[in-house]
Amino acid sequence: MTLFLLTGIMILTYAMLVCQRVPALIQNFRLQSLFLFLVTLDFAFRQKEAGIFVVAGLLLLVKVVLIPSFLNHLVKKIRVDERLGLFLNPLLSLIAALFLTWGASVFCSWFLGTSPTAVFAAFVVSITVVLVGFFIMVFRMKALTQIVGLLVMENGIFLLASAITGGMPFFVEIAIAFDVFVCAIITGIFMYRINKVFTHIEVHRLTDLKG
Amino acid sequence: MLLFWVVIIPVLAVALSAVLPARSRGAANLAAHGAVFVLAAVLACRITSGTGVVVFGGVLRADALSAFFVLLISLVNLAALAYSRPYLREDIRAGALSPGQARGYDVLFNVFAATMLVVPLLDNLGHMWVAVELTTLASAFLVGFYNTKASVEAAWKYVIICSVGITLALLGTVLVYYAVAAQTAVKTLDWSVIMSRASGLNPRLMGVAFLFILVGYGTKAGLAPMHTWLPDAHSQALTPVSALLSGVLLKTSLYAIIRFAMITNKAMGADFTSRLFIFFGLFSVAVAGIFLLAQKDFKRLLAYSSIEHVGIIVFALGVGTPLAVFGSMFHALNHAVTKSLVFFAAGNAVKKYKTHHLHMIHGLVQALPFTAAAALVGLLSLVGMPPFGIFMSKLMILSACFQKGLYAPAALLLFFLAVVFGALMFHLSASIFGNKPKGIEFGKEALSMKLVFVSLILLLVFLGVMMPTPLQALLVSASRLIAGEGL
Amino acid sequence: MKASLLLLQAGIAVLGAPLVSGFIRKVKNALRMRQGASLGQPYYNIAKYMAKEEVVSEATSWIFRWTPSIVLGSTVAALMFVPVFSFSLSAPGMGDVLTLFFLFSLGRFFLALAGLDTGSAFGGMGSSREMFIASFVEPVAILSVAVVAGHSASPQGGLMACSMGMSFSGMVAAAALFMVVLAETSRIPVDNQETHLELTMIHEAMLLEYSGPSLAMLETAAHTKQLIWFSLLGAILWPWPVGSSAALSDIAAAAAFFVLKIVLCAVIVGLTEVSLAKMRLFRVADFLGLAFLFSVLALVISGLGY
Repeated sequence: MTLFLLTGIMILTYAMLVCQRVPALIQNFRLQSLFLFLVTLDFAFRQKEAGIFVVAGLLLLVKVVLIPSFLNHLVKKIRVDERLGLFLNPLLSLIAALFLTWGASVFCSWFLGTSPTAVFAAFVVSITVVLVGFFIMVFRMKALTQIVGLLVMENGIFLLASAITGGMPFFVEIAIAFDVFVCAIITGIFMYRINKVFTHIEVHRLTDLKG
Repeated sequence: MLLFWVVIIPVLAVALSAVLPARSRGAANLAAHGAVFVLAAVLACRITSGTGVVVFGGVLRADALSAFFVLLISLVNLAALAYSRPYLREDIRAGALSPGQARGYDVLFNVFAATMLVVPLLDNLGHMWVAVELTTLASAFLVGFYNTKASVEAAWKYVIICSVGITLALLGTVLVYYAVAAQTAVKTLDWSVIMSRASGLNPRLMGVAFLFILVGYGTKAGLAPMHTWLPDAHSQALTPVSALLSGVLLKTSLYAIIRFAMITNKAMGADFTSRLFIFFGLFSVAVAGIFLLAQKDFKRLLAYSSIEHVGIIVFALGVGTPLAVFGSMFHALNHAVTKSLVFFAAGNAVKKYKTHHLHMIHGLVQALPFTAAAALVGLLSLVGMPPFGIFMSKLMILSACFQKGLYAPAALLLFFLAVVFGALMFHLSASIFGNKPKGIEFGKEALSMKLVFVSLILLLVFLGVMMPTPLQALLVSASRLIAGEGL
Repeated sequence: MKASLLLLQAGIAVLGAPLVSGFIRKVKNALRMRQGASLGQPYYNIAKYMAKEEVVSEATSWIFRWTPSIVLGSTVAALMFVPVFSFSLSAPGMGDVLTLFFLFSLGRFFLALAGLDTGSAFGGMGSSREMFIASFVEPVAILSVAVVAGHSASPQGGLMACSMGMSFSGMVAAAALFMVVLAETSRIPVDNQETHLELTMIHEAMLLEYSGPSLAMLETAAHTKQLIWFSLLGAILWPWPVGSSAALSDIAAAAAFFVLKIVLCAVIVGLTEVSLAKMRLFRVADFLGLAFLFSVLALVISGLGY
């Protein structure tokens, strides 16, 4: 079951790479967070700790409901072109992702040695998610993708923490969830401001400050 | 209890700023930050004279290193607050700033100060991460305060790049947590607990984790090549906020790196971190020197100078001997004071000349003589002239470097420092001296502002000529802690 | 005894295959809040075709007349190799994974030629598109199934290995195979079975000139191929334990489990068809490129031992 959910997360991550439209990207992020919630729930049932249930619930609330709705609301308000500018076409992005996943699996073997399948799978998927999040931040043109990339990286690290350490301490998780939420809100507000001042949200055209 | 008050007072100040009218707000803020500074001094005394550790409720913990950083942060907070009142009063009078915006500034300033103050006092590494991330978010609005194209762009780059860095630092923290959980039976992120079991940690794991930490927190600390947000953010922010960002925020991230470096040193010996620190330090100084040569923007110039000084601090941490570490901590203090002074002077100049452009700011000595004097003192201090503080700390660092036998890095450092010296002197003396342009009239600064300048200059001289004994004791304990002999 | 059971299984599968298509259509209609055609509609269609007269163009050759038999024959032969109900009822001695795919290729080859044979524009276009998609699909399918099979390191290899339970590489290969299933069974987002518009049909284009019993044979072959792919996917993702004897109760349990898997597959495919839009042909290349990426990824991960 966990393996199925993890593969689902990985598929959604790659789907994020080949997205050509902004609403599709946000929807993919929402689905990925939903799968992450299911993984955490599955993990909580196995560990039978109340804290992990709370963390899973928080994840559902913040990353599946609140943040995607906020981003969708912003996108509607900003009314920019739906198309996601790509610096690297989908096929090349996929090839890059293949290398990233291969690097992640090599790193996992080096880091953990031999380990049970579920742990290996979770580690590889989480590092892939982090690297793909970073990739879509760098190789896409819109400011919104940078926000989503940050959130995706955060997802990956959460999955990594659950996989190899059984989750961070309870209060740290709560604080991180709150922090991610505030970060998303603030970057969203800034994106709105960029649109107001520049009338576009393409980050490669923010070149006033140089040197 | 002491720690609790240090953390709570700025939070109370936030609440008060949101509610009080303008006149009492200023007084309340000054009182609050003055109280925090006094409490920080008391904390420092208690730590150096007592057991060396102060705890509160299992969440807050202060040792010599924390006390030093809290002292530094509260000092610069107070100075920036004292400066920002006359600075903003001019703006409000001219109509560029509405009273609502001024209130917003006060609230944000206090939030920023609160988040920065809490970072050195947290024992848990996860909580520390959250606090550092909150400093980014709290200062984002301060950087983008004026809604101009340049400041919004600067704020965006600041938030995004720093958040990416912080996310990498979280990855490093998770890896450290894993290393601790795998080797010892205890699953904890408390720094004090980890330190007591650090010698058993797997060196390979800790090495990888520390790399992520260095790159991650180093982004926020302004280490090259992750420094790209720094010139933009520091130049576009409000001047008192620039001083805070340069003087204090960078040091807060350095604090986080130092905590992790202490764990890593205990787990795998000091060589690994030492080599990394020396490399990043030298690289930062080099990059800063190169970019300083071709600068056209006054505040950007000062931002690159901050990168250079952070590079020196990190380089000194890499050298690793007790003298070098002492010098690096001392340098942090000196740099904070100097940078505040220079930024304040720069703020006045930029406001007077209504431009950031260096070529258009000349003859400051004729337009604002007091500010020009302060700027001159600040400039001389920044490049390392005696009798100011930075000269002493640089001297300590370089002599420690030679003592340890690292001749090549020391030579490189001296070369890059010479480049920086040349660039700074060239640009800033052209601004300070000369004839003022036709449209600018002679002006006077407010008395409170002059007071701030004078006190900062006196502090600089004091630090350079004779360090007060309690401060020296604090620095010695802090450096002993870092160099690994204290624990 | 074994051979007759095998033939019985094949017969039941061929007879039951149109029911799966009907079920998928029911699922889609339910999601669209419509009544739609009944479950047995594919059977009525086939019966209707059998009763009608066949019209064959004079410009065609023997390929056009022989293709329906070849396609149906190869598909039913492929059915023999696939573990439909349980593994004790497949024919390992006669061939393995590659035989399966070559049989599929045989059918596809002749179908494409038959499309070209009539000389009409629709047929040729359908054939070229089908071959384009096939050139992406076949390597992915072979690679994915090979990864799953090779992971077991059993001396026979082949589909027997699918019973070894889930591995990470197997999961990823299954993801690739799901995309292949969508392509091979002519489902959205690759092809639309419900259309006869020139710009949008691929499989239907090749069948366009057929009528009467030939069309019935080709439709049956399509249904059977779909069932084969579903059972392959089900066998990889959720295998019935090997070593089960040929006892009647065991076979009954295996059959029930199989039906459950097919229903699940059908529901998922139905959901996919309803939620996505058919992709333009050059974007199908991207889609199948993603599938290829997954199969290579599965290979890499199985190489690391997982």
